[in-house]
Amino acid sequence: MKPFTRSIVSSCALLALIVGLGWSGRVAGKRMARAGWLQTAAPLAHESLDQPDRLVAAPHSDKKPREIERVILRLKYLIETSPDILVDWETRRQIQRLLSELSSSDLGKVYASIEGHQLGFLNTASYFLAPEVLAVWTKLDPASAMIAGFAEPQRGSATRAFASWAAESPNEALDWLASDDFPPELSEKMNELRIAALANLLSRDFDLATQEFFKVEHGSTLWSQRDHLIGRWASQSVNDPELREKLVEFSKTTGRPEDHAHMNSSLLRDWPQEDALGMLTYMYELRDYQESGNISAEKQPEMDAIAVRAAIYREYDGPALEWWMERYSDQSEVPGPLQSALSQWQQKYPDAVNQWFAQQPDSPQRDAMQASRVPSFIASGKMEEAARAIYEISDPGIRQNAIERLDYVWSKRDPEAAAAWRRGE
Amino acid sequence: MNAAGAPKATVKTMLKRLTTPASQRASTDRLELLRQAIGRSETSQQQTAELWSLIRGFSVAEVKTALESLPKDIHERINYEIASMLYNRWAQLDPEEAASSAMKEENYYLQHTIINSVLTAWSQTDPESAIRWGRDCGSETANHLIMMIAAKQWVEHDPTTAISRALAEFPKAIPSIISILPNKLSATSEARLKMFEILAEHAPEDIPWTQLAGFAQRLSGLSSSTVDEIMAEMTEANCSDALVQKYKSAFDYYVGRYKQPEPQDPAEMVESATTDQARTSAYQMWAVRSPEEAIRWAESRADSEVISKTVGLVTEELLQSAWSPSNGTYPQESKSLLTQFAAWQRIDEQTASAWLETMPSDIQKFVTSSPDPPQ
Repeated sequence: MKPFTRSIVSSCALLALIVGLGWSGRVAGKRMARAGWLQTAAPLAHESLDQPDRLVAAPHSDKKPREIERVILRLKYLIETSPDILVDWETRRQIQRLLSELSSSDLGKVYASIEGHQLGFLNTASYFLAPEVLAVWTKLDPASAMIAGFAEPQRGSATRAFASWAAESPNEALDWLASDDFPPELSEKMNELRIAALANLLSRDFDLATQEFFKVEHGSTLWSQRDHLIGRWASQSVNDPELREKLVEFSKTTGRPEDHAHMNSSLLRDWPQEDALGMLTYMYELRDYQESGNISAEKQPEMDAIAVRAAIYREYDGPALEWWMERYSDQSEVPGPLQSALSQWQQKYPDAVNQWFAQQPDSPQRDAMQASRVPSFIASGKMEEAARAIYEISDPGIRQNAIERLDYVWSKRDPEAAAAWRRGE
Repeated sequence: MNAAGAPKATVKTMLKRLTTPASQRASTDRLELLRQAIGRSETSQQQTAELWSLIRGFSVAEVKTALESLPKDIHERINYEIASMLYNRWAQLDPEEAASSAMKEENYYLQHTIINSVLTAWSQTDPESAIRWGRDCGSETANHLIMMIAAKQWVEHDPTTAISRALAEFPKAIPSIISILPNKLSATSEARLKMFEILAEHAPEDIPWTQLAGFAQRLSGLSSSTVDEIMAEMTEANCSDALVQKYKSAFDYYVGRYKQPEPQDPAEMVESATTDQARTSAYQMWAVRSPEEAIRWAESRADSEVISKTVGLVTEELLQSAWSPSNGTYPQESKSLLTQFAAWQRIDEQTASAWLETMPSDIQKFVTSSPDPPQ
């Protein structure tokens, strides 16, 4: 082949190759775009979850007693004949459709017809149907539904029904709580209902959730406490960096350091193991916050202790305790959260705890921490270990307190062994 | 946003996504959006309905695509719920393939959920095949789950033949059948008589009484008759003495212990106690539960004895536990100690103070440094 011809052929081949590459790239690009590789789908956090199957019942006129009786029989039949109503999604759909055609008054009649507690267990109609009916009823007539729901607390349906309503219409549900329509006889339940509504609201409407957070009071049970709510939010947002950061920042600005402390405890407990680097980065930020001076001096030790407890839980004990000792080695009090952390750490890794204590230079805090182990040794019947811990205490006052406690209990349980210990045997 | 766990990505899932037109991916993409929107939150009634409304329209191919992308670590509740719905849908379309896939799941809890879903859907279209598969597939989970499904099917079909049918086809299901017979036959005394006649004729003699728990519970819940009346009805229906006794044992053990005792007035409990120990114990329970109320009662009687004994008992409990003055554990007992000790001091300050001096420093420090309890 002549050089001129060869040059034309190779140019044509190169051109064909370029065109081919261009075409392949275009096709591949289209497919990648179509597959969503180039742009992820828009998040649905604030998107309305509208679907053809909306279950918000339109106002219906009351049915005649015989019709209601038929509905009740039908509902019971569907539940009793279902192989397992909890995973029988198609039958559940039918039940939803039946309920969505009822008026508020009819829903009340259906709810009243559900048998209550049987001895020792709830029957299927009670544990499945009662919350379903109550959830639909709440959307139509929250006052009547909540009064009926709380009248039978063993079903625990009222708060679940309210939470379900709040998940669908948060503004409506929360406004109702603050309105004159809220039944005065349920005033003691308001906090519980608000927490139920807020528990699932953070990822859907951050601003509303955090605004309502300030209205939450401290309830008497764990589930009705503000600390529990913010802890739950932390668990929900731990896998969502953007939401997580917003929550962390919010918790620093509430004016109550306990909010941040309890948020942080849950966040660290639930931080995914595979994101070790992310957790470490967060730990550094946490340390900066604890040292920032934004926490009142009075509350600082307890808040720091809660942070250290969470770090010990995530087996970040060495650096966390080193930090703690740098700050508090001259203190002779151990805050409660750190005492419980030491007790749990002791149960899990007794050798590591003993080793850590052995490496600590004498200080009032070290002695106080040693003394704080004594009650948990006593509670688990490990009197000799309690005695060994006491032996390590240098401060005479702290040591005397610990001796008195061990002597009192040990003397009652095993006077001879206690006497031998007193004699130094 | 991956609050419900990032979708599982493998070369296979990526290639599949690349070669599937967007129109065919719309449903599974929508499911993924819903899943992430719900995330770690509890599903509302509406969201559960929406999820099923979407999944009930899936083809087998869409079910498989959605299952392939569910996170491997399926710890979020929403993922369990979606897996349950997907397997339920799959079983509506191809139950055997769905069942065989469910069996391969290694996570025990998830396997239990999805096998239950498969059997639930399958038994609604072809109960005989579902029962046969659940009985013979070799999985204990499936075997256990299908017992109640078979029982419901057969009792619904004909309660009079359900036990004899189970004897021939699936004897393990007999206790489940007996346990749900009251659902069908307990509304009237005639129906109950019929049920006992069925038991007399068909129930195996060697059935252990422990397997009659469900029967005893349901019957007691659904009928207003007393145990003695029920036993008399059973005898009238020619149930053997052994069966009647087994029912009684089941009732006594499983139902009797759930009977709620009549709430008793705590003051009456203290007053009616016949021994010193019982009296102190009743008062102590009251004092821990409602310290102010208990103290009002004791002070009105100037009963320093019951108060001092209670202070001693609560102190013992605290000292023997992991409690310390500052660790915040045992809040009820701690509060009770402060309240009772303050009352003791009001009635007999000298003895109370002398007692405190004999206590370890932990108790002295706690009692003297805590704010005054309400009177």
